[in-house]
Formats: sequence, structure tokens, C-alpha cells
Amino acid sequence: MPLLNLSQINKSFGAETILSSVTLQLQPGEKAGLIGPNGSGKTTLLKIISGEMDPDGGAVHLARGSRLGYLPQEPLHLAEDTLRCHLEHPLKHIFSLQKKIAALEKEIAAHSSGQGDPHAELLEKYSEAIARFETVNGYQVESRLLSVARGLGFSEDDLSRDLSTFSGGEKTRARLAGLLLQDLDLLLLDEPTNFLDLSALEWLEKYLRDLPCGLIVVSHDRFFLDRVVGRIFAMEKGAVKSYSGNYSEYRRQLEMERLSRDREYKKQQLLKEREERLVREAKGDERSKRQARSREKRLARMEDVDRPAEEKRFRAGLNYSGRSGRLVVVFEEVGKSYNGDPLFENLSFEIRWGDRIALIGPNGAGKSTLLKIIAGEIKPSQGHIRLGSSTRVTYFSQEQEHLNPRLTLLETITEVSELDIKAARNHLGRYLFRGDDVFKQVSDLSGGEKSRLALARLALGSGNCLLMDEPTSHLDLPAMEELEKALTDYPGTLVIVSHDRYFLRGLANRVFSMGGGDLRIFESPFEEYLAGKENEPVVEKGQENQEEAKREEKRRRQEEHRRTREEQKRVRRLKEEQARLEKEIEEREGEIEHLEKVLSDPAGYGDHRQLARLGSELEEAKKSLAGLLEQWEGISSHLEES
Amino acid sequence: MPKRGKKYEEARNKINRETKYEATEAIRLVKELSNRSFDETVELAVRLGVNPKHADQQVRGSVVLPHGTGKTIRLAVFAKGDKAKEAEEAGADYVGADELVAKVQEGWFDFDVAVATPDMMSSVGKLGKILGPRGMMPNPKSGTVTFEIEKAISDIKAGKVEYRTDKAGNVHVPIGKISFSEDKLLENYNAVMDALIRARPVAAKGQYIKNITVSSTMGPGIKAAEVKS
Repeated sequence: MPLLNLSQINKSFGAETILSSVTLQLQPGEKAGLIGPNGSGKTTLLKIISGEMDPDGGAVHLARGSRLGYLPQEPLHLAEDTLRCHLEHPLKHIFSLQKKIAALEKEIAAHSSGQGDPHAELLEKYSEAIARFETVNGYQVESRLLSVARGLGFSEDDLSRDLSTFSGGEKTRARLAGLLLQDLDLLLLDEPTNFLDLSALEWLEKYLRDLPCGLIVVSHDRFFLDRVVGRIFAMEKGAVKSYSGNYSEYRRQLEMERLSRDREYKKQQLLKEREERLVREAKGDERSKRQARSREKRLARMEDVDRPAEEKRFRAGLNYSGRSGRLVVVFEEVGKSYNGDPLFENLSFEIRWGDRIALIGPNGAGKSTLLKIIAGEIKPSQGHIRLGSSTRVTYFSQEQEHLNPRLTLLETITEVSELDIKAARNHLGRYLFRGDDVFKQVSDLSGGEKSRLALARLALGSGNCLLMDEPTSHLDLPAMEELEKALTDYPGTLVIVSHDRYFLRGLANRVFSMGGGDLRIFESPFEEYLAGKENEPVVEKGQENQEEAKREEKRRRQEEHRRTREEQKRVRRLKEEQARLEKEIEEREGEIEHLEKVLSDPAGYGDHRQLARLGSELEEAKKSLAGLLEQWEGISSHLEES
Repeated sequence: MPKRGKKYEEARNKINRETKYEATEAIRLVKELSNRSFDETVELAVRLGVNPKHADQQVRGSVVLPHGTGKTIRLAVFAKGDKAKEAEEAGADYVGADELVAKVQEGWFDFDVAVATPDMMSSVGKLGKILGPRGMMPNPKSGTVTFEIEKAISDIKAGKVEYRTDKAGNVHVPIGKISFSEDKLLENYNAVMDALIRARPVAAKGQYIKNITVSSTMGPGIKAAEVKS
């Protein structure tokens, strides 16, 4: 029996229909993601399921006795209490049982102070209370509360803080923690990831995966959906379509559907054309006329297959100026401070050719500053930066401050290029700015449009080291995918600041994690970095930096050790190879000397065949010697370099 | 699935995992297949047809094994006055009142079973967070909250074992050591099974004993024939 059953739900606001005949089912323990464009009715649907809003038509059935919890997107009003009180509230039945047990223990002690046996009834009551307490995992209640609070980024000190002092984001996290502690059958979460940093997000993913209750979650975090849900409810034009599998699986199924619809459409078009041609070419005799009439009827009866709507996608292109040297950027003891406050200090690292770096970290850690320093937009307060030979940096800024708000789109493009009007319009067309759009002022553009325009501008320049600061902000899903594709195909060096894990997955081969004025480098692809992080235990905020620093130091040492070992191994092999070649060269030289000696001996001049054979042998030996010498030179130069 | 060791695999290949052996045969096999260099404990695992989420369907109690567990039990007794003296005389390893409670609170944990006199319960209750998750909190149902200290201690020392359902409705009880004779193990086995059947909750519906498995500490589980109840 399903946990949740929605049948024919309708909802309109004025003339606008938001939900039209929405029907869906959720099984007990099933976890589903609710996705769809902005304004498609996701929040409305959650409100209807939670009972906060009544539908215009249709029915919501929740399995009998099921308990439901709902986390709305907008900030909530929470009772004026401390965080601990708020979190203890859903567990109050356990805490009251704990109090009851303590009272019974005292009563037992009081009744037996004279060393007479307490009433059997009292002992029975105590045993029952203990059994109930154990059933609800009473002994773990405190550790559960602390683990949820810590997991969502609260410290021990926060527990005694008053909720009225909490920011909007903290309140949402507090509410989420309260919901997670409840014993629910269905959990409805509306954008729970908005206020979580990476570690809290990873904790939540793990917690939700292990949670035995049903879940419907609205999220635009594709990575989160991939890890948590096993079903996708996709909303479009008021209807909901259900897909089994996580987000990636949903995309695959969607693509298959589109292809199949496309095939069906083409097949029908061919059939129609053929029938219409046959009708046109029908002969004048009665039989042919009859056939033509029947074909016309069949055509009229034929249900039209709609042509699958092509997703409007921009076509990102990134110009590449050719290979740079092996070292692209070198940081030597670089630091930056603002008004005397250091943002980071003594950063030393190398960015090598072909690196695809994910630069991550909490807000204010200095990620954008680091990119700006590389791009030469700002100067560091200390240390030096060296750009490698032939390095040409192109920079995509988060704030798009390069765009002049007073210019039109067309002017923005022609300002930085030598394109004529027609070519500039064509270029803008590739980024979905068509028709009169090109005459709009930059100041009139939405966030997503500005990002597209900035990408269009970026595509005009060429470089081999691309720095991108939050390039996916404001972009819609198809645009994000297009950008992903363009970056995957980009042959140069990449440094990307992003908090979109789905975007970074498969793109980054090194991870730079900034935080607390420090930079930690992980020599592994982003997905491996995430997998490693997932296995790390949750630590208190205060300890976090120390613990992480220790771990990082260990990792760095291990990595250094590994590299040194590999280098030593390589050098050893090269030396062995060099020795082998030297021996062979010596042999070959001896052979040549011997052959030349034989050939120069007048005694052997009589035998032409023998002379010819020896001559060709000498030729072969010389060729071989030349090859060996070339190899030896190559190896020697490698050894000199290392 | 973790990778199993050679000795385990070797022992497992000698039994039919689908077959339910008679109790005597199962115990004989457990002894025969034990190939470790230490004296393994023989354990009995019984799957019960109860829903442990309901307090009235929890199976909990204790049984004195006729031949003991083969282990030396370290016993802590929370008692004061005469009862403390009685406990000491009965052979308790550690006896104390509030000072012993404080010691446990500080992290001392050098005992296997805790017994308390009812008049100590208001102090011992403070140890719930520490002893509770380990299943060692004194409880009247298991006979560890009592004034009959001498009997409780002698029972425990003689091989009294406690049983209780876990979250999935299983009961795990040690029934002796591999060095025990088959007869002794069988008698212990029967004592536990009898106690479990007697402890059947009234609220339990359907088949009560669902599955019985006997195993040694590091050996494979051997299924024993179900007892219809």
C-alpha cells in the first residue's frame, strides 16, 4: 500500500493553472526528488501534500497513522527558545520517559530504604518503563541530538543560543534539525540545501539516505538528488511525470524519450508524405479514386505526433590560443590582506599545464581574490606570482563587472572585437540573444542573461588558461550542461570556482580547498575528493581546522613521498637503460671496427659475395649505432633535466 | 560482504547451509568444525516472531545455564551497609555504593555484570547513559535489581545469562565453550530454549520460534531444527 497517493489534483491562482490533474504515488520509505522550472508549482504541491493549502480538486491520501513533516523554503517563525529546547521538543516523549524512570528509581530507593523489598508492582512499572525507553532508543537520545546538530553545522555553543539571535539560514537549519529528529513516515523538504555548506550538505545526504521514512525533496542541486533520491517527479506545465532512478537516470530517460518521440514524428511525416503523394498521383479510374478517398480518410483520422520541442540551448565556444609551457602559474609565498586583516598568507603552489582545478571553500575564504590575483586584476600584499611561458589567461568574473551596464548587447560585443554588426549579431545569436534582444541595455538583463552575455564576450578572446568564477550562477539547466560540455572539450588549463558539485564532477582533476586562511591541495579528481570527504568523521567546529590541517599535512607528506619515490624509480630506470645502451654502443662500435678492418684487408678482395655481405653488415651496424646514439642522447638529456 | 578467512571458508564448505540439523547434530558439527587456537564460545541465536518495537512484545529475562558459560564473570555490586558485606562474602568482584557509581561515571569499566540493591537505584540510575547502551543496566526483570544479593551473585557466577531481543527480534545467548562436552552444551542449549519458550509474550502472534542457529565465535552458523510452538 502506498504511503502517499495523489489523484487528479488541480490548483489555480486566478486565471493561471498551476497544477492540472496531478497524480502520483510514493511507497513507504521511497525517496523522491521534485524538480521543474521556477514557478512550475513545486512548492504549491508540497503545501497541498502537507495540508497547508487545499487543492481546487482531487484528493490527497496519506497512509493511515502516518506522520508527516514539512520544511518550507521561506524562513520560519520559531518559538523564542534556545536551540537545545527546540531540538528536544520532538523528542519530548523520550525525555519525559527518562524523567519517569528517574522518578521510579527514586521511589524504589525510598520504598526499600528499610531494606524491605519494594512493591512488585513498582518494579514491574520500572521494568516496563525501561523496556519502552530502550524501544525508542532512549539511551542514544542525547548523542542523536548532538550528531544532528553538529551534522548541520551547529556547535555546542549554538545549542544554548537563543533562536531569536539566529540568521534566516540558521533558522532553516534549526528547523531542519528538528524535523530530522522526529520519528516521521513522510518528510517534505523544500530546497533544504540552500543554507548548507559542503560538509553539512554531505552529512545531510548520508543522513537522508539512511533515514527509513519516505521523502519528497525539492532541490536544484543535481548532485544532491543523484545521491539521495531513487525517483524523480518532474513537473512541467502543471503536470507531474514520474521517473524511476536518480537525477542522472532521469536525464538519460528524458533523452531516450525525446529520441523516440523524434523518431515517431519523422516516421509519421514520411508516412503522410507517401500517402499524400499517392493521393495526388491517383489515376482517373474508379478503383484508384476509391483507394485515394480511403487514403484521405486514413490521413484525416491519423493522430498527429507533435514534433519534440527543441530545447533552446546556447552554443558555448571557447577559443584556445595553443599550448603553454609546463608550468602555467607559480605562487611563491603569496598573501593578501584587506585593511590589515590577512585573507590568506604564504600560499605556494604550482598550476601545471592541463590542470583542471576545482577551487572550493566557504564564502569569504578568498577564492575570487585568488583568481583575481592570477588574472592580474589585483596585486598580492606579499609574495610573487610567475606566469609560465606562453601562458595567456582569460578570466570570467562572478560579478561580471566587465560588462558596462549602459551599453547595449551589440555594443558590448563590438567594443571588444573587430566583428561587424552582422557577425556580432550572429555571435550573440549563438548565445540565444536574437532579434531586438541585441539592442537591450546590459542593465536590463536578468542574472542568467548577464552570465550568457559574459560568456559570449569571453568567447571572443583566446587563451590557454581559463579562470572561471561561479560560471553556473543564474544559468538554467540546459545552459549549464552546454557550458559543462564546452569546458570538458577545452584543451587548456582550467581553474573553476564553483559550489555546484555536479558541474565539477568529471571536470576537475585537482582540488584546491580554501578556508581559514589556508589552501589545501588534493591531487585527485573531484569525485575522489568527495568520496574521501564522505568517510571523514564529523568534528567540532573548533577542532575542524586543526584536524583537517593534520590530515592535510599527512596527505601532503604522503603525496610528496610518493612523488619522490616515483621520480627516483624513473631516474633509476633511465640510468639502467643508459648503461645498457652504452654497452650496446660499445659492442656496435667494436663490430664496426672489426668489419672495417676485414673490409680493408686486401686478402679478401677476391670474394665479391663476401665483400657485399660484409658491406651491408657494416651499413646495418652504422645505422644501428646511429639509432643507439640518438636514444642515449635522449636519455642523457632527461637525466640532466631531473 | 566481507571477505572470509580460509579457516572459515573451509568449515563452511563442510556444512549444508540450507539444512536444519537436529540440535545434537548441530552442536556436534560446531565442535567438529572449530579449528581455532583458542577456546571459542558457543553461541545460540534465535529469531523470534515478535515485534520488538512494541514494549509488550519484548522478550527479556535470564536463565541459569546448568553447566555455566565457561567464563569468569567480573561482577560489580552497588550496595551499602550489610548488603555490601553480604555481596563481598558472596564473592562479588567489586562492591560499593556512591563511590563505585562515581568511579563508573569517571570511565572505570572493569566488570561484565552489574547488580544493584533497590535502595541504590536512585544513584545507579545516573549510570543509565553509560550502562544502558551496553545492556548492563541493572533491571528487575533480569534479576539484577534485588536484595537477594547472595543468590543473585551465586546465580551469575554459576552461569546465569541474560537474554533480550535486539531491534530485529533476535536473541543471542552464549551456551558454553567449545571445550565443553556435547552433552553439557546440549543441556545448556535446552535450558535456554526452555526459558525462551516460557518467556513468550502474550501479545506475540503467529510462529514464535522462527529460526535457530548455533555457532562458535569464529565459525559458520549452523541451523538447528525449528521447534514448533
